[in-house]
Amino acid sequence: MRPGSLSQKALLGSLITLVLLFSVLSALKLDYDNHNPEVLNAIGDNPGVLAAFQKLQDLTPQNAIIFAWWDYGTAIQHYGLRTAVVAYPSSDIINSTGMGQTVQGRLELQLFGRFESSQKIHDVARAFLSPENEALTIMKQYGASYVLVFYADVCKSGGFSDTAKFPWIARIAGENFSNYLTISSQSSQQGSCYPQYLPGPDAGNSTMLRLVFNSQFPPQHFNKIFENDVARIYQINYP
Amino acid sequence: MQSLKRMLGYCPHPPLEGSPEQGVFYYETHWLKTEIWDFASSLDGLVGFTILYGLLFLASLIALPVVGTAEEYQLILLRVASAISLTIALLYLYSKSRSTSFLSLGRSRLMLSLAESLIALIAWAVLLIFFGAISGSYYLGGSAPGHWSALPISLLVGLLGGLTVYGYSAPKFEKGMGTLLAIILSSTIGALLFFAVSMNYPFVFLPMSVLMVYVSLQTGSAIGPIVATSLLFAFFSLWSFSPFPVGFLQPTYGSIFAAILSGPLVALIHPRLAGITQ
Repeated sequence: MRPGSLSQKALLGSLITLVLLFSVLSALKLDYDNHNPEVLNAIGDNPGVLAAFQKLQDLTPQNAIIFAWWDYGTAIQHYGLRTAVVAYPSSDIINSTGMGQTVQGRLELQLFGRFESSQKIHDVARAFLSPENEALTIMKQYGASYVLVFYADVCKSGGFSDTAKFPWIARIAGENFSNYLTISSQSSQQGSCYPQYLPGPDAGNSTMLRLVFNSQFPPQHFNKIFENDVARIYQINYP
Repeated sequence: MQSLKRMLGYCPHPPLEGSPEQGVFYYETHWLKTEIWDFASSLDGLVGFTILYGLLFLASLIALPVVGTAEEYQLILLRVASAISLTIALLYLYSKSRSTSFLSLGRSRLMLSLAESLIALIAWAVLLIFFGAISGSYYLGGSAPGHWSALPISLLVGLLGGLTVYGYSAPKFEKGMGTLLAIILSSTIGALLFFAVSMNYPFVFLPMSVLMVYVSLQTGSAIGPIVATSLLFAFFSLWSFSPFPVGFLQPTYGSIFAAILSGPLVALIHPRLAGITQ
């Protein structure tokens, strides 16, 4: 059999490169889309978390804007039928997301992910780390009228826990989380969940932690309108 | 220099005597040498992968409904299985229209292919687990119970994917560009199917995919590798979407070493097995 000509080699080489690139792109797209509804599906398995999102429909007006960390944004829109201030990460905080932990995940996010503006994400993080009066200014800027927080530990809420997310939120806000939150890796009693998150010295200066540890730091400008075993919904009382 | 390279490129045997430089030139040209023996057959192989990943891309545009995590993985597998089924149907029509062969399964060498594939699979899996155990860097265990229900569909995905990769594209690439390129291309592009079903550790399977294409072409039958790949899909789908993935780099290194050791083992037993199964 006679080998092919140089032009055939060049053509085939180009086609192989194209097919290879296209195959990689398709496989990554499928992988990204497979992971995309993961959070919504996980909520379906967690009745307490699901109830909190669904309660937004009953307790808030249709045009209400909900202030919550971006992780809950798509669920607020899907299950709560309300607008979230942020529903996606910004491109500069990819390393704080679950998918951003691998090279492949970061590539998929860069190629196919939806992003909020970095300013918005940092504003939300800053609002949660700030005292109430400063947080209200930011919340008002985005037209928010309600706040949703998940106060339960990760064992109870299956990952829907603002205290577990707090170290990352603090880092994004440019703060040191250990001033606000103490993480205890020792289980105080058998069968209890760990790590345990306890309020730190500056916890009272963080709006998020005031809404989470509300018995120790009663919020001044937030009315609790819903609470179950994992989440709370607050109405914002602007002065 | 150019004329020497050209001459060595056509040389059918390695230099027995001469300077070491000549040897280097010979082996460089030998390994880098790629020839197109059948352009049309090479294109047919590429068409197979183009249709497969084109349909998978289109499938990714179909939004899956929000369900529980147990049903989630079944839907992901079903979406991929449907795309591969349609690929096989389109490839059948394509082959008919071009009057070329459709699937090369090599049914007459079924036993040899099955035996070699299962030996390769077992050797690779045992070595993979062994390397994990001695290094203490990864382990295989702790399945998410919901994923047992996805087992039949993951078997189906492995079967259909195997038909496309080992039964259609690999033999066409071998006829068109030779065994080495057929193994490299078919295994690399074929292993991307593990990405498409979101196994947590897709690079772990690439060395195994290389091994399976090698067995498929060596035995002249795709059936054994198809069965082994289906088992691989089914087994590892139990761990997909697991909250505790086995890791990333360490099992990939383990898999590479396991395949490097399993490959020569299969090559070594091939003549003996071929004699027994004939």
